[in-house]
Amino acid sequence: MLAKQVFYTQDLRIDRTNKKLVTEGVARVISESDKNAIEEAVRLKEKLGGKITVLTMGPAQAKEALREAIAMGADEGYMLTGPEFENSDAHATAFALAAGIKKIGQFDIVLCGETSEDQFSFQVGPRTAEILNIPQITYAIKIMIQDGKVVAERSLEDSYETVESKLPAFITVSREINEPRLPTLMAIMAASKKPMTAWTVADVGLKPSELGRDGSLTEPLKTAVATGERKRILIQGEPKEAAEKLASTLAGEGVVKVT
Amino acid sequence: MDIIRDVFQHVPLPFVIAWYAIGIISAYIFVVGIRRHLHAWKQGRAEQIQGTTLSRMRRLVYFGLVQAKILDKKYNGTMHALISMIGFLLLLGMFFPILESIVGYLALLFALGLILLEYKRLRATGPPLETAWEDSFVFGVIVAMAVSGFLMMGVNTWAWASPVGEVLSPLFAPLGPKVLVELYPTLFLIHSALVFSLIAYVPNSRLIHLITSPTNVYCAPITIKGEMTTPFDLKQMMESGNFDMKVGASEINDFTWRQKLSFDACTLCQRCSDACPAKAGGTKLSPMHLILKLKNLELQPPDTAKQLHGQTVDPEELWACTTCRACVQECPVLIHHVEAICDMRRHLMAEGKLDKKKRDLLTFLTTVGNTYGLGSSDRAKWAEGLDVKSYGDEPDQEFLYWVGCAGSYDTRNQMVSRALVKIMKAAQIKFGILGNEEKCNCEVARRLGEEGRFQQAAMELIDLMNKRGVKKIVTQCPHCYNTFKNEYPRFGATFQVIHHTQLIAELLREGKLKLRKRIEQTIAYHDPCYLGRYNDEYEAPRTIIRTLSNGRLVELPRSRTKSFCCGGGGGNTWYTVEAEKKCSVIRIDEARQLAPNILAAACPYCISMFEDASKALGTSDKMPIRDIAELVAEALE
Repeated sequence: MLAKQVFYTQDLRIDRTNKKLVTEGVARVISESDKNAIEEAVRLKEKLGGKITVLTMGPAQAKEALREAIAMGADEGYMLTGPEFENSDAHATAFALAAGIKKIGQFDIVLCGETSEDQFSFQVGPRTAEILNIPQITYAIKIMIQDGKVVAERSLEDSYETVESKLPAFITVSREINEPRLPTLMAIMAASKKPMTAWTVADVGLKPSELGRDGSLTEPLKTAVATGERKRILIQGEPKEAAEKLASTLAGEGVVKVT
Repeated sequence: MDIIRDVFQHVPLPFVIAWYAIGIISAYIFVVGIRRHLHAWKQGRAEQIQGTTLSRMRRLVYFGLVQAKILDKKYNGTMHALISMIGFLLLLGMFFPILESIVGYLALLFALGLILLEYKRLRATGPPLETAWEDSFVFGVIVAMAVSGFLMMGVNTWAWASPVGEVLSPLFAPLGPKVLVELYPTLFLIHSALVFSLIAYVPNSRLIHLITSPTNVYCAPITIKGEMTTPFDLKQMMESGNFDMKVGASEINDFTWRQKLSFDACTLCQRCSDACPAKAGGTKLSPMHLILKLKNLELQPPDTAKQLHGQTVDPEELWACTTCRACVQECPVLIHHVEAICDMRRHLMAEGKLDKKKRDLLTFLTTVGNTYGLGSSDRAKWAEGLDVKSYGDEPDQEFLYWVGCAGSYDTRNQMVSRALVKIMKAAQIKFGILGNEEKCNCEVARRLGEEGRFQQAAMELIDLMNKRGVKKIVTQCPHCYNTFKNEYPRFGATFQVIHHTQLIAELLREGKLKLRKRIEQTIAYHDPCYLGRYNDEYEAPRTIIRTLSNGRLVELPRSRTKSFCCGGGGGNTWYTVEAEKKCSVIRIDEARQLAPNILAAACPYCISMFEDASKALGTSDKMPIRDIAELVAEALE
C-alpha cells in the first residue's frame, strides 16, 4: 500500500512577490485518496486477514504519514528517504516505489490513491504497476476478492466498469470508494511503537542518476500564478427586479441562455 | 392520657409468628434482589468517590431527605414528599411504639399523597409519565396497604379515642367488640404482609430508586461543573511512551461502578427528557430513555446481553447531544447523562468511523487550527484597520483578548469582536490578541470525544500563553471561557479568565465605561448554556441589559437554569443530526411569543444559530439578534 504526504492544500498561499508557495507552518497530511486506499486496505484485512505494509517516499517528516497509516490499521511502514529522491517526477517516483515494493517482497495487492493532492498527475500508480509488470486497475470504487481473483468496479468519466484480474494486482482507488476512518491523536502516537524502517537509495539498490531531476523525464521550466479578477457587479433593488437584471446580465455575458 | 400503639399490641402469638415468617422471607427476597444490583455495579471500572464525607452527607440531606430538586415541581414534588417522607415514618411506626394520634395524622397525609397521585394519573397535565403494568400493580398494593391501615384504626377499639379512630369508630361499632377484637389481628397481618411484600418487590421494580437514588446522590462526584472527566494524561503518556489504554465506553462495564449505580438510580421522572433540546427537536436522543437502556443492559445476564453500541445505543443519539446540561440540571437524583454520553462518544472516536463533516472538523483543528477550515494566516484579518495590538507588543497589557474561531472567522461574529474592541478601547483597557498564533483550544474536540487532540492543544496553548506572559484572558465565547477557566487548569494553566459580559458589567459598575445613550427597547436575554448552567453567570448580562435599556429587560419563559439550548453546543454546529425541528427554531418561536424588540445573547454559537433561525422564520426585522457587546458598543455612540 502506497501513501504520500502532502501539504494541507487548503492552507497553502502563494507569495505574490516571488510566486512561490508559502509552506512555512502549513500542516502536512496524507493525500486524500491515499487515505481512501489505506481505509480500503484495512477493510480488506478486516474481512480476509493478511498484513498491510505501507510504503512512502519523502523527507524525514513523511514518517508522520506512516504513523498515521499505522494508526488507521496498517501493520508496518517503510519510507524511501534522502536527498536523491527529491524532485523526482512521476516516472522517477514510480521507479523508486517499484524498487521499494520489490524489496518488501511478496504481495497480493498494491493499493494507492488515484492521485496526490499536490501534483495531481494521476500517473504514479499506473507507472509503478508497469514497472512491476503486474495487472492494474485504476479509479476503483469497489473491490472484491473472490476465488483468488480481484473484481473491481471502476469509475470512469461517464460510466462504470467492472473488471476482473488475477492476483497480484495493482489498484488505484477513487475518493468515492469509502469514508476513511480518522485515527485519534493517541492512536497516532501509539503507532510510533510499530515497526517503521527508513531506506536510502543504496538500501533499495538504486543509482542516484535514476532518481530526482536526473532520473525524471519532465522538467519544470517556469512557475506562474494564474490570476483571474472577478467582475464585482452588484445588483440592487426589489427581489423581482434584481432577479431580472441578474438574468439579463448573465445572458449578456453569454453565461446562460434565455429561452 | 395519650394512647401508644405498640407493635404487637392485641396480637396473639400465632399471628406474631406468622408476622416474623413473612418478614424474614421478604427480607431474604429483598437482599437477594439488592445483591443482583450490587453485583451489576461492581462489574464497572473502579472510581474513587470525590468530596468529603461531610459534603456528601450535606448533599444527601439536601437532595435526598429534603428532596430539594423534587419539590422544584410543586404538584409532583408535594405528592412525592407526602408518599415518600410520610411513608418512611409510617414504616418506622411498624417496628417501634408510636403515638396512635400521630399514626392517624400521618396516615391521612399519606392518603392525601395517594389521592394526588391518582388524580395525576387520571388527569395528566403536561406530557404523561411512562407507566407499565408493574407500576399499576405497585400502586394497587400501596392503596390496599393504606386501606387495610385505616381499617385497623377503625377496628382497633382501644384506639377509638384517637383522632382518626374517633371518626371511624361509629362505622365499626355495630359489629360489636368481640368480632372487632378477633378481626384486628387478621387485618394487622394483612397490612403487614402487604408492606413486607412491597419491600420484597423493591429490587425488581421502579421502587428500587428508594435505595439507588439516595445512594447515587451520596456517591455522585462533587466536581467543577464545566470540567469533563480526564481519562488519561497525554503528557505522562508521551513521557513514558506507553499509549496502551482503552479510552471511552465500548461496553457497559467500561462505565465506572458509580456511573452504573447512577443509571440504576433513574426514577423515570422524565424531567431530563422534558428539558432536552435534542428531544424537543425530535432527534433520536431522549436522555431518560438512554439512561434506561443503559440500566436495563447492566442488569441483563452477561451471556444474553446486547452490545452497548449499535444494539443498545445508536451513534446518532450520542451525536445529537448538545452537552447543554439541561438534563443534569433537572435530574433530581444527580445522574450525569452528559458524562455518560461523552464517554460513549470517546469510544466512537477511537473507532474512527465518523461521517465526513466530523472528520473534516477534526482535520481542520489539526491542520489549520480552527473549526471553519479557513486559512490559519487569515485568523487576525477581522482586526485589520482597528489598531489592535498583539499581546506582548505593548507594556502593561492587562488582558489577552481571546477572539475564538467564530469571532475570528465568522462574518457575523466578527461584528461582535469589533464591538468588543470598541468597548475595551472606550474603557481604556490595554489588551492584545495572539493574532495568527491563536488556535482553537479544542473544546469541541473534547466534547466530540477526541481527548488527545484536546490535551495537545491545551499543552501548546498554555505554553504559548505562558511565553507571552498572559495573566488574564477575556473572551466572548462561553465555550472558550469555560474551557480556559475550568478545564485548562488541570493541564497547568493559571490564567484568570473572564467572559466579556463580566468585564463589561464590571466596567459599567466602576464607571470606567460610560454609555452615551440608552437603547429604549425591550430586550429579552437568552442564557447561553456554558455561561449560565455551567458557570452560574446569570447576573452580569442582565445588569448590562438593565443599564443600557433603562430596565427594559424581559425574561423568556425558559431562562436562567431552565434556558433552552440554541442547538450549537457539543459539536452540533459542525455536523448535521437528523431532526424534525432545529433547537434554534424552537427557541426563536418561544422568544417571539414574548415579542421583545431585541433578542440578546452572549455566545457566538447562539448568535449564529439564532441568526439562521430568524431568517427561516422571518423574524430578523421584528426581533433582531444581538450580542450584548454589540448593544453596548451601540450605546457608546
